[in-house]
Amino acid sequence: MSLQRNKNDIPVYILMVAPVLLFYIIIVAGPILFSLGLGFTNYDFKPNQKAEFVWFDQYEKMFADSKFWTGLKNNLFIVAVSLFGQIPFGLVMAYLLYRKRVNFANFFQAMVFLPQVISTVVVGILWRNFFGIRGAATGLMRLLTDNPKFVFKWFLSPHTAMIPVGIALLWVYTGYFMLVFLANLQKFDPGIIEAAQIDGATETQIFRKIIVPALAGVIVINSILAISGSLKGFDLIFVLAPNDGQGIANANLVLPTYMYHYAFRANKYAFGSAISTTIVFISVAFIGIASFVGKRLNPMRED
Amino acid sequence: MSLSGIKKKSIKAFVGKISTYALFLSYTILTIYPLFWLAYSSLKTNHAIQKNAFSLPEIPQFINYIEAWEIGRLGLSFFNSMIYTVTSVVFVLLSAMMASYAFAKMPFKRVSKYIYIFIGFGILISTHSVIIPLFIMLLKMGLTNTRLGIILTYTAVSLPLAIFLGTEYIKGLPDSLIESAFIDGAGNIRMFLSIILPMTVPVMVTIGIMTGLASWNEFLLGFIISGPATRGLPPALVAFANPRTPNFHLQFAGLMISILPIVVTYSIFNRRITRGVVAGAIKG
Repeated sequence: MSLQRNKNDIPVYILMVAPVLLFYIIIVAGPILFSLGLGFTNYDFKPNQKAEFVWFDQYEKMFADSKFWTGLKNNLFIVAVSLFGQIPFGLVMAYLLYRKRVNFANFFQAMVFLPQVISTVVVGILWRNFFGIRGAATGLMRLLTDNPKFVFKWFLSPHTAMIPVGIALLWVYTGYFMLVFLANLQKFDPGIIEAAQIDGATETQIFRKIIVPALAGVIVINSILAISGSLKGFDLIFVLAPNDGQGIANANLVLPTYMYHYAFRANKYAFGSAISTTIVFISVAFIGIASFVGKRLNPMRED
Repeated sequence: MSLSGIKKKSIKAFVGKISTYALFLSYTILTIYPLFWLAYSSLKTNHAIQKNAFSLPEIPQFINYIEAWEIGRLGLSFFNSMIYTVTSVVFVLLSAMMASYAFAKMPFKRVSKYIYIFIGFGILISTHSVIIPLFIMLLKMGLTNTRLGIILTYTAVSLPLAIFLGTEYIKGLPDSLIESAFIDGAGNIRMFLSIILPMTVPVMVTIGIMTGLASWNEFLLGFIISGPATRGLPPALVAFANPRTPNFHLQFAGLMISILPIVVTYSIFNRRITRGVVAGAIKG
């Protein structure tokens, strides 16, 4: 780079960068470090409370809590839905759109993406009203089974309580992954596919032997995004999972809602901080595994 | 290939095409129907919704919207959401474009690189990992339950992605352009205002849409930081749509009030929105 320096460069640079940097440090970076530290204390900001450094006591308490494990299990379920649901569906549909086997591709694309721009709160309330015991699913089943007493109770059993959450997540994010894959497929040289077709390859073979390996890198990046998204999602499940009256308490707990209940309902801020630090560590670990596995599997790796 | 072979092949292709269409059509219906259901249910009476959840409204009850607007105080929240969306978009655009220019085209490359990476981490951070200290800090500063507190927070959380998009875009502009402007005697600030800004309109539109969507739809921060008078639509809807008091007709009208501006924006800018959201994802 050979851009010349101007004599007033330094003050202008500071003027341009300082606002952003200050904002970021005060509202994002600072709180994260603070939260990390707070998790090692017992300080809950009560008046007259003395702050003590308690090392890993909060973490021990957390690991001994069965609700933590419920939350973790549910989070893993969500990770599985996105890795084995959203991503493969999105990929197959992107491929079908790419191969121009469908007219009105733009229309389908626009429709399938629509849930992505709607507030997750709206999505949550919508699906809660659908799957709740007084919701539309109950009405539908009454019509279909001709039984006016039928009650739809997925939310009432700990075994099925997470299914509506999985459906809502598929509904929102499949279109998103489809678009990301489509954007990458459009960079792909169609000559290779034509050559394979001349050699007699079937559509399935082209998809498995050419497209999937070529997109391996993108699939890995998206899996990482899906994993970190699945671990940090709060809004949708907080709103969707009926935590009063309609469902069994805790059946829908995930780690972020677990954190919320302790920090903001019980005002145990130190314990809440320990939970949120744990969430960050779990996502970092998952992302590490995903990128390691991805590098191993990627036949086109360059580095 | 024999004639029957060709025929067989074309039948196979036809079946393939039909099933592909069936797949897309059913997926589209699955995607759109819940929203459509929400839209027409918002015009039914509560009794009609509970009696038959799928029937169309007999007489459209537009009064649901008026009631939701007034009883749920959603009018106030709508107004708050508007303020938060507009101000955070303006603040993010102003500050992010300045920083992006500095990172992309000014000297001090090494400092810029470190700050850029430091801010880049912010893209990966989720709001619930900052919410506890942030809430306590705002509480001590007396900024909880104020519009200023929300505006500052919403601006800060949208900055990392905005700076990433802005910096990458400005890096792509030719250096020669800037050099020739310097030779003509322009200073940094004039250069920024009269040369860089006009050339970055496309990325500013993307950043504006991303920030606007994020602020309009944000829930957790607003839910914790704001109160009944200062909250935006998402927290207000959650408070309003309490499952213990199922006045479905008003809930649905409320949800529609929050969706409509988004759907209108989406139908105008849908290409740009999709591109923006996807660009935000492929940052790697």
